[in-house]
Amino acid sequence: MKKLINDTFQVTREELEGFVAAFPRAVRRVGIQAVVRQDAPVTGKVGVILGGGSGHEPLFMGYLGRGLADGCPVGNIFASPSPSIVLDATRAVSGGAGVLYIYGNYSGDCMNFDIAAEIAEKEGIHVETIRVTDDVASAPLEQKESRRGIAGDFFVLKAAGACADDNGDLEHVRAAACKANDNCRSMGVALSSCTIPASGRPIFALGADEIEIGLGIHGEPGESRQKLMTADQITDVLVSRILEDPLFHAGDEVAVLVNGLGATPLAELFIVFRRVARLLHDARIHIHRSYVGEYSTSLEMAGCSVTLMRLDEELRRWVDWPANSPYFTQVN
Amino acid sequence: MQEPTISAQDWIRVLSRIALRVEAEKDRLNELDGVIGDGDHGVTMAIGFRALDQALMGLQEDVTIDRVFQTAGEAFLSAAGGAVGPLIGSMLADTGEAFRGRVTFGAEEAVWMLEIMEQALVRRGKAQPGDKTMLDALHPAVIAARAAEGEELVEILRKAADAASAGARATGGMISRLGRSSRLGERTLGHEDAGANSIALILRGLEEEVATL
Repeated sequence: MKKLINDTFQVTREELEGFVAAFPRAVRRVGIQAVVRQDAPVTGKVGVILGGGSGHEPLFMGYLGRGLADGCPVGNIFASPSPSIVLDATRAVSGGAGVLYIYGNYSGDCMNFDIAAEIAEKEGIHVETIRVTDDVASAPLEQKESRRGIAGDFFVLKAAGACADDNGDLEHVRAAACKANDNCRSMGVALSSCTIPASGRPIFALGADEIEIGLGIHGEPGESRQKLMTADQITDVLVSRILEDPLFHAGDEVAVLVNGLGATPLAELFIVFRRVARLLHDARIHIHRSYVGEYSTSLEMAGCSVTLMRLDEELRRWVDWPANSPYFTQVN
Repeated sequence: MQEPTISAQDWIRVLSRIALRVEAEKDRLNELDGVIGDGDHGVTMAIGFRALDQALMGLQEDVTIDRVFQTAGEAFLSAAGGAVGPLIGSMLADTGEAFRGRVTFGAEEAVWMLEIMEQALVRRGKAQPGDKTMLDALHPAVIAARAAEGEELVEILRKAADAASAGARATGGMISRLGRSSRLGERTLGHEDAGANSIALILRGLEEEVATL
């Protein structure tokens, strides 16, 4: 294992210390592994919490700021934060209007966030929860609620954060996040594996000329292992799988996210985006706004994911809403 | 002969010794997890048990049995994270809750404790026997302990530990139906579940450390 670390037991803690030291105007740490907006709690505003295990940077804490998240409980690499970390974040962002939890649908996260929500309710903080389920590779459409959350976290956060910034109440913010999740579909491909410091070995092995289609962001195996193809061929597979869900139709408007998994250069992501734009054009699906870059990574994994979110008038408004955070800023 | 009972101070000693065993076995647990998971199960267990050990060291002399388990469970839950934190944390904390006011812990209580732990695991993890999880070690342990009712404390714990070990080995023949590894489906066949092995390790530690009291 060749990594810039000091102690495998301290990776996440030291990462957080560095992050907070780098952006002292934007964020502050509470407790051991939670980070919140510097101005939290914002009185009268719904507190939006986005969290999960670390290793997906800039998700989650890179998106702390106006129009996005108020607090991020961060677990160890690829492991859910404990209830006490979630509660540290919850208490710090509670401005009296309730708190929304957003996280990817993984069993560990569900258990820890649920325990935290139970305790928060006892303390008088009303909590609602949205579990992100955008990964079409992880389960068939009939089992949408058991799908995993991957890069779709970003769009769900974008909607919830914007709605909260527009002074939406908790029910309104929850509904915005829910609508974003219902209209979000993603599919990823891995070109190489990654190594968790705690284990010291790659999570899975891929041959030099192999790719894994539909792989999860923690190295969960995907739908199929194939020989390396061209960027266009791979993009065709990803987009066609997304469009298989009977959600997108000719004439629809979408937001697109081409997300790098950590070791894939931006240049390659643009080559992928070029093909996505072509395919959507041919399907007469209009791209309203695009995002290309690293949003939700898997340590040093190579590969990418494609996410489409179908827009209606409301979601278009939340996508266009300004945002300001250490790793994502949108002026207009 | 007086039926031996485990005092609160004994429990602190036993749980701390189990923490040492987990620390010593963390690489093996990581390796088991590495085959069909992301390879950090041993480290997560070690993080939880280190915190548990720290918390128990801070307890007063006159602590009660229920407080020992509550403290252990809360410390584990707060530190470990992942799916393991709520599962092991709830097993310990629920035991503490159930033993409130109890001052003795003998053979009868041992069976009861294992039953409470199984209920906690099912409540939190929503697993069923055969899903290739921790439950596949704990469930047979509870059955074995019940069957041994009437026998001496250490004998009951030995039979529970034996059943847990056999149960953990048997997960090699199961297809994962829950949690992250369930995505692998039949590719999980032939590989033992790391969580089930952790339960077997804990129950073996319980038996052997109680025997030395």
